[in-house]
Amino acid sequence: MDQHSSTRETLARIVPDRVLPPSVVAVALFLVVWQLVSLSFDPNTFPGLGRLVETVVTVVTSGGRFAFAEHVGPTLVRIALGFTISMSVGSVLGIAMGLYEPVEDYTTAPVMAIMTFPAVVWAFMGILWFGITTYVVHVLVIVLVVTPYVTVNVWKGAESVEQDLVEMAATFDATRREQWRHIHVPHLQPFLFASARLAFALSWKIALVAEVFGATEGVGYVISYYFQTLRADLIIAWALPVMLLMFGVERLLKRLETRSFEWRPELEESAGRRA
Amino acid sequence: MGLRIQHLTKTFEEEDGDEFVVLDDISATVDEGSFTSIMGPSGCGKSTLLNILAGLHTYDAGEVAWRGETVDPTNLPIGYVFQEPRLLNWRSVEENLTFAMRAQGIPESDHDAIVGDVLSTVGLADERDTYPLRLSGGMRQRVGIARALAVDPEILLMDEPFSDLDELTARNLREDLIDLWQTTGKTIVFVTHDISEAVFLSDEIVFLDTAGQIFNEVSIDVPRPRDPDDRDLLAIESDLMDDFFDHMEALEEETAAASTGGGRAD
Amino acid sequence: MASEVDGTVGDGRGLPALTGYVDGLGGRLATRARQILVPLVVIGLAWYVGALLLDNPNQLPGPVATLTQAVEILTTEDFRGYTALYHLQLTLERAFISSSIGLVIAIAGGILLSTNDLVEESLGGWLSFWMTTPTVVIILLSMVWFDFSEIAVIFAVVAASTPFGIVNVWEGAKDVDVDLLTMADAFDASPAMVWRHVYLPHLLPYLFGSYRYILGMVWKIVVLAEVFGLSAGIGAMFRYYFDQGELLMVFAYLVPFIVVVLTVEYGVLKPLETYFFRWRD
Repeated sequence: MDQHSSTRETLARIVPDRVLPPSVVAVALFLVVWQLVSLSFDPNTFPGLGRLVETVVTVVTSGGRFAFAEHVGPTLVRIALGFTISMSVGSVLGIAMGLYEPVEDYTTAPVMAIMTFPAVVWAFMGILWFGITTYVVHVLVIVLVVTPYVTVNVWKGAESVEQDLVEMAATFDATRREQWRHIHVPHLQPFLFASARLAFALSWKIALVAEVFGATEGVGYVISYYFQTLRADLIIAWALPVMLLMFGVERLLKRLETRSFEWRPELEESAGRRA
Repeated sequence: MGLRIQHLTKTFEEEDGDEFVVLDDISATVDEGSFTSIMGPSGCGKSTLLNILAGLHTYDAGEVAWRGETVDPTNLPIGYVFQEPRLLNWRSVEENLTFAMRAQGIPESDHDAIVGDVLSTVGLADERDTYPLRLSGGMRQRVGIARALAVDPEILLMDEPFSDLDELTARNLREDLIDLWQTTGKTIVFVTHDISEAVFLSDEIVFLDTAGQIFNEVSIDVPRPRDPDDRDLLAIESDLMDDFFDHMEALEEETAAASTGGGRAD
Repeated sequence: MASEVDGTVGDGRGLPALTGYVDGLGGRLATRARQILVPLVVIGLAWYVGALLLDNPNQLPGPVATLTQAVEILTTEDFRGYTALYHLQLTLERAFISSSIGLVIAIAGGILLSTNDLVEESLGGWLSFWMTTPTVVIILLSMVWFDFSEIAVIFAVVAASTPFGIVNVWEGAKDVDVDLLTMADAFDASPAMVWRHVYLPHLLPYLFGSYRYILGMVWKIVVLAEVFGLSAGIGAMFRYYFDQGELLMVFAYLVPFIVVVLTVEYGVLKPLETYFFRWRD
């Protein structure tokens, strides 16, 4: 057996010379399995790899029923708006909760309770209130779902500011503004980046849910259309490019986040875990 | 006249509502320009006393006077050095100093000169642009001291500043501290739990016990420069330790007798 | 002459607890009650007033109407002979089954990733890609592939939530005290012994948290899955009444759902977790 448990510190195993990196091997295996499964299915339901690639190309070049840019555009706008509002509201609320005990006292329960509401229920409520809208419902749903997550993350960050430093500043009679500028804001930065990453990841997925029910254009609408005709292949073909795009943005945000952690390696773990 | 503390009392209320007296009617005088240590075991309130002088805690009774005038401790001209460096790790050494100076309203045009001056005094002239996490523990503490000096306080409050460091570093810093003190003539109030440190550094030592009272005040008349391993100092240390243990025993007997006799309100 | 110096730093948390912040109400239970009841009452009142002003039960049903309706659906059978309890039960069952399966996979995966470098190198990066797959897409595909069956729901929920569970357990396993591991190694402890005495005791309380975390996600995914073409379950009811445009009924079904979720999370699981973690605190 070439696999066995090893403790991290006492890693005495000699890593064998590999021809291919293991992550590539893993993907290759996955693709092989996919191809095998696709053989027993109708290509509209479970496309083989070749067919899938073809379909993706068709989708992206707007060769199919729906023009790619025409639908990805509105989706992106909704995501951007929802993300921005959630981050703003969530950060302010989180900071308030972290720094002022009375705020934390009375808002913790409602925030936690709101987090249990499934996004789809907000979508239903939003649509029954406002009907089919271009942006309102979708942005509202994103904000309602994502803001509590941002709030909790920023709250934990604001709460963790070292009282030692605040006390030190007090001995020098530093004003509130000086404390904010030199202690609180630098401390909060990594938490804000981590929250942004989480908020973005959530926002785009929630946007899809909202679009499935309450839109006449957008990626979610398209996917819903193909669902009704059971075209799993086209669902995948639309989902993949969007996923790749979003994955790219998330990687970018992660890089920014890591950069902002350069001073505080000990905080990295606790902030990253907050999902 | 210096710093006078009169009948200072401070009680803390615990979570379950119990009160406990941290400082009980403390009175003491710190001569201006002297080096005074406050000594005692853990939990005796020495840090609390320092924090009161720094304006960080309120007190329940008594008053504080500086140079003959009663004063609100928030207005005392102090610089504070903590046990941990408490530096802003995301700012350079120089920026840490300017932070304090700006907070105290020292004009920006003076900052550059003061930074250079104060960093030379603590021996870190080359580290202006360095970030704290790249410095050793001893160096970080020195930045903390430099920061307290930068605001040019008349009184320097120090809360066990060397207790987190290894003995060698601490010895060096103690000597540097004495040099600094003798050059600047500031009044130093130094809290410690280490008797040999107190005896080496101070003109006066004030002893607090766990009942929150001063039970001993001693002048150390050994001439400077002092050698930490000097026989006279060691003799003084052991005498003081004996006094301390005797007192603590007596205190325990008193408390035991009181509780069997009917109990304190607990 | 005492001075009033506290609070120079200007906010309620600015100074250490020692400066005498006393909770006037004492007792942790009283605090809890206050923290829940005050916002509940405030929100309830705002809702009541809002509904009164809008005066349109299709736009905003008021709290009284909602609660009455909630009681009604729980006690009366609808046109198919089911009460809301039946739907709740279905949803609950699906949630527990999928979260349990997810937990097992998460434990296996998480531990494997933390101890075996080959697994970590080959699969670690792909976990984040897996997590990028939108839940709604997984659900739609699952419904098509498994023909809108129970399997479809379970598969979808497990597929959507498991990567997060794996990462959660993985981080917990990584978090084990390395000093203890090197100590065990210094005494030549066998892998089995290291497992029994270092990893497992470290992990067990953690797994509780992982389960809570997974279940927290799973509730919402089950509901979303049910929305897409099942005929029974809370999500299915949400869908049915949404299609009918009956906001009041959507609200009415939401109430027992939230109550159950909060009760399970904070009434059962959290206290259990605190109990398991008590040696840590």
